Amino acid sequence: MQSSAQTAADPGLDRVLHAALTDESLELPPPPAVAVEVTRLTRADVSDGGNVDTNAAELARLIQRDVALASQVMRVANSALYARRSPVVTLPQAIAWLGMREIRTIAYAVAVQGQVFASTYFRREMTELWRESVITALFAQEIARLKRRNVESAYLCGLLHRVGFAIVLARVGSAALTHRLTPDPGLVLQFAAEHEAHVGAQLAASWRLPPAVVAAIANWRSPAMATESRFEVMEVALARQISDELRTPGAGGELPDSMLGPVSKWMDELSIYPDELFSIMAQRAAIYATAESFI
Amino acid sequence: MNAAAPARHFDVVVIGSGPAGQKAAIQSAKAGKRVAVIERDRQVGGSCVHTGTIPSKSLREHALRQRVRQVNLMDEPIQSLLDGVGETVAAHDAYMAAQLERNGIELLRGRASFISPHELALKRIDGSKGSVRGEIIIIATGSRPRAPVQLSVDHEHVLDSDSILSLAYLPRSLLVLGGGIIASEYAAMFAALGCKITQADQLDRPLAFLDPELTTFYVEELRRNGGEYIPCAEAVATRWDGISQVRTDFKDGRAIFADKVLVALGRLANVDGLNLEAAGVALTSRGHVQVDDQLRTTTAGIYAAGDVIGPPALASVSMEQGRRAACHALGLLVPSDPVSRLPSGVYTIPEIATVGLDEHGARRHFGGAVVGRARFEEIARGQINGCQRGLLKLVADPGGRRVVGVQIAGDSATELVHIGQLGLAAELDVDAYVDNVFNFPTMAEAYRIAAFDIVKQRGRSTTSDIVADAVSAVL
Repeated sequence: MQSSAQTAADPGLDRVLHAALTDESLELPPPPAVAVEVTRLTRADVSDGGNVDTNAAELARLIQRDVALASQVMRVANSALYARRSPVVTLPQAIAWLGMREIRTIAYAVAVQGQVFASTYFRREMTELWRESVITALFAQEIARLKRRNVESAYLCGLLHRVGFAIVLARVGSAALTHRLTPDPGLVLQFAAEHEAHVGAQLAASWRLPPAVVAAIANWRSPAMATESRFEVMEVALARQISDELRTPGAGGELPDSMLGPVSKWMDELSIYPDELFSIMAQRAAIYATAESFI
Repeated sequence: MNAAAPARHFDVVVIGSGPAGQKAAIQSAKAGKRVAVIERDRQVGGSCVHTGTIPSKSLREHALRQRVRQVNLMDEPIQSLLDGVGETVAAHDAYMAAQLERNGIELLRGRASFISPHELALKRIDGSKGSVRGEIIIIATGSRPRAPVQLSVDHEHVLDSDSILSLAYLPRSLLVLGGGIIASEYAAMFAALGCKITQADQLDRPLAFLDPELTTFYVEELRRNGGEYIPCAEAVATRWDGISQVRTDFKDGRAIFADKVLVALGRLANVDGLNLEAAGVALTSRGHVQVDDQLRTTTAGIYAAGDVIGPPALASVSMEQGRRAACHALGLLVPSDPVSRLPSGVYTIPEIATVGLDEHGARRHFGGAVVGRARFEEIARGQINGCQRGLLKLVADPGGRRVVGVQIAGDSATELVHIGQLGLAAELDVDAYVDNVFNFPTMAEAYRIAAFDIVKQRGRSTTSDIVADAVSAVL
């Protein structure tokens, strides 16, 4: 594992970063509150006489809001224990396949992990990463809806496209605590960005994530490099550009120069005209409100 | 970047590159005209290539194989059932683009809207603008699925015929709303793939424009695959339950639950944004571009073809309409056959195909008809192939001499119908199907069997000159 030139100057930090990526048990840091909520919902289903339909619907919404739990659900649904002849590719399919009882088991596991990562070093950065992923997922699904592509797959690609970054960040935070070091957040973010693609790819392979998610993780920064699931990768890339653009106050009135160049190429490939892009951007308020409710 | 260039001039400008637009453009180019095609999407070919005919028929092939193999495909991602379709579409796309180029046709990317009867504004995807002038303009913008607001099509749980193939996996149950060709084709296809199908429509039978014997056959086959058709059922609302089921409420108070819902309740002409008012082009009461029998719109020099002018919205018919629109516009010789003589193919499982008049139509026109039937169970090839369920109806004039139509339901129907089509074009009489020897064993034997059936019935009918004249007038 090669760390960047900047980090190599600090042997202590280099050791931490190295340690962060040599531990093979890579797990995502889940927000414990969500896992607890999942547990409550699934328990009510079987023991408290809860309304099964209501709880199931609420459970689906809850899982879709959480990158860690969603990833876990997908991983378990595709694990050797449950594997079908073909991978499970969407969350509703995974939930239906696993059933409430198994979802509860996963929730317990995630809750334990949540406790492990509760004092994680990069809570603020992780929250921002989560927000960014959710917003990307929500915009990606609107792009998919417009182009009559699979909405669930677009959402999952958006939600998990930076899963590698989350893992690296969490592991560095954990290692920093273990080794009692205080890494420079800027350097760590740079380190995470450098390694997120291959760490994400590792995770995608071991979790048997769907090919479109694998492609999004590997190529969202440069969709032209995608040899498979190119459409889904471009959906994610464009969704991120929309998200980034809308951070600018007053944005959304007209096609900004920043969205020409490479983005216009994606719009071209996706056959999305400016007015269609604006119709997606016009959903900003609803999407941001939804994203905030996820956090 | 928004500086508009001067208008470019062409003899013929075709809006849309689907089956109608493509054939109109090529016909015009072959006549030596300078032609441009305006296409809003990156790929040429229209919905036929990208969301309709080609992808759906690829899935259908899997359904047919599934019928033979009896393999459970419910775990199979739909994209794997569409294997090769990406390559097929790309190859078709490349072929069509090359065909346009080879014929010297200029492909302009963007959205067109009329400025005047002979001038179109062109808005490109990067926001830049241009304009194009054409002595003749042919509108071939196709159609899109109609999505009644109350049915909340979200392309995720409640889908239309454009988004149905974006499904990640086969639903365990699918409610198909509609009784037309698209609804019936998807109902048959997903039923054959192993989904629990419920098809519901306001009409008392699906494919109501067809001979009732054929639709009865379709419903029976759907039932054999575990599906059902619910007649006289008008859906008024759909609601996803948040996890796995969509509830659909009907006007009569019933509710049906299914994993997914396909709304296939007709199609709307793609005329939005064309600014037809600026050209004086009128629409019909159903929102299609109004044309006469020469495919002329209400404005001189502007023609329309394909789905944008309304049913039957079949690729084969659209192609021919496109070709004929160009021929009419350029004063070229136009085939004398009426477009109604073109065959119709419905890719249900099994297939249904028809050409000419059906029994009801013949009785209406001639005051009677003699109908010969051949059931596939009587045909040796059907026995060999396992295609024992099927029916061919040969419809003749009241004297039992002149063939006026053919209707077929069963495997290979869309191929078999072409024998009847050529027979109609050649004005063959019933005896020609008896006297000519077909290969044995073939499904074409059905024609002979049906013809013999007519010959047997002739004794009960008489031919008169009046009837013969009436037949000639209609055909």
